[in-house]
Amino acid sequence: MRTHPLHDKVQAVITEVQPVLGLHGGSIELVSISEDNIVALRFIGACVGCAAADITLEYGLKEMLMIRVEEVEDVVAVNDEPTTHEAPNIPLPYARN
Amino acid sequence: MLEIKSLHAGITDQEILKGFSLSAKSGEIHAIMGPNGSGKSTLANIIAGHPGYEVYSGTIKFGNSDVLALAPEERAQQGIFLAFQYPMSIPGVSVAHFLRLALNAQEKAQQKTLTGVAGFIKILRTEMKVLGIPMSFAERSVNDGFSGGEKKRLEMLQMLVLNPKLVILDEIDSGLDIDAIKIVANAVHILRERNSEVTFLIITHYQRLLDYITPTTVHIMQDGIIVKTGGSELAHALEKSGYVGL
Repeated sequence: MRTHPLHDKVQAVITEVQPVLGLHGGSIELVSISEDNIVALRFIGACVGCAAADITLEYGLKEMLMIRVEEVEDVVAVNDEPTTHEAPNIPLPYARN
Repeated sequence: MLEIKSLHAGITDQEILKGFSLSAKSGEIHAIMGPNGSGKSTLANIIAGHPGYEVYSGTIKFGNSDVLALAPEERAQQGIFLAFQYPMSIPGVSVAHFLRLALNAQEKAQQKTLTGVAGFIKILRTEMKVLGIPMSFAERSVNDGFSGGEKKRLEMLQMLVLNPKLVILDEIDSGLDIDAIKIVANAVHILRERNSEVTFLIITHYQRLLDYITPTTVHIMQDGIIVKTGGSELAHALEKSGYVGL
């Protein structure tokens, strides 16, 4: 992946935003860049499972990466864990059974 | 089709437009020239829906819409676009954010699928290339610390992104050098190439902009009404003899 021509440019942007995510106890790392220039990132630390991670990706990282590195076609997160909170699977008091 | 009939309007007790009428067909370019204080900017602001002005009587119709019955944002959603003479700065809001939200708001009103971030940045890349604007511009705060030329470039970028049906350029050429004027003219030509139905109202003091955008009709405005209408030769005559000579 290091041989991808966009690697250094993309990594430079990620390195720049890492301290900002660090303030929230989380971070982001570059996983891969595909042949058609789609950047895959992974949220780590407190970003995993954080309700704001999707917004950070969509309106922060994606916008910034695509503006700074003009060849990037899209930016996705590859976390297996849900990036947003889901309602706990407990019957609610008013649930009809 | 834009149809303005006997428009009387002003600010509180001061009547500025005194029975203004104008009719512009789809695809036409109308230049409105006139001395300071003749009501040109008032007209632009009233079409766009500036809340500081009061309309006493008269009608503005655009297509099938009664423009005066619509809120400013509804007018924008219907494709009415005003490029400001003095664009406002919005510190903290990036150009990319501002334009995407404006486009999404319009798409929402027209019940279209909203353009996502990746799709939008691709549109932005294309339009910025067309206007010769570097991509770094997209990260700057709207008009914050922009030069006069950069502000007007952003107005033109908004115009291309929003793809309007009626474009009002309110003294867009004031304070611009010749290269910036060419950029404005180029943006107008590009929009016309994409959609030959777009109607333009170009408010200007000078012939200069009209050297690059040939108007269908030229109107001279004085004291709130149109006093003379002609072809592009009227703008040349004005340049020679001034408003007094007419």
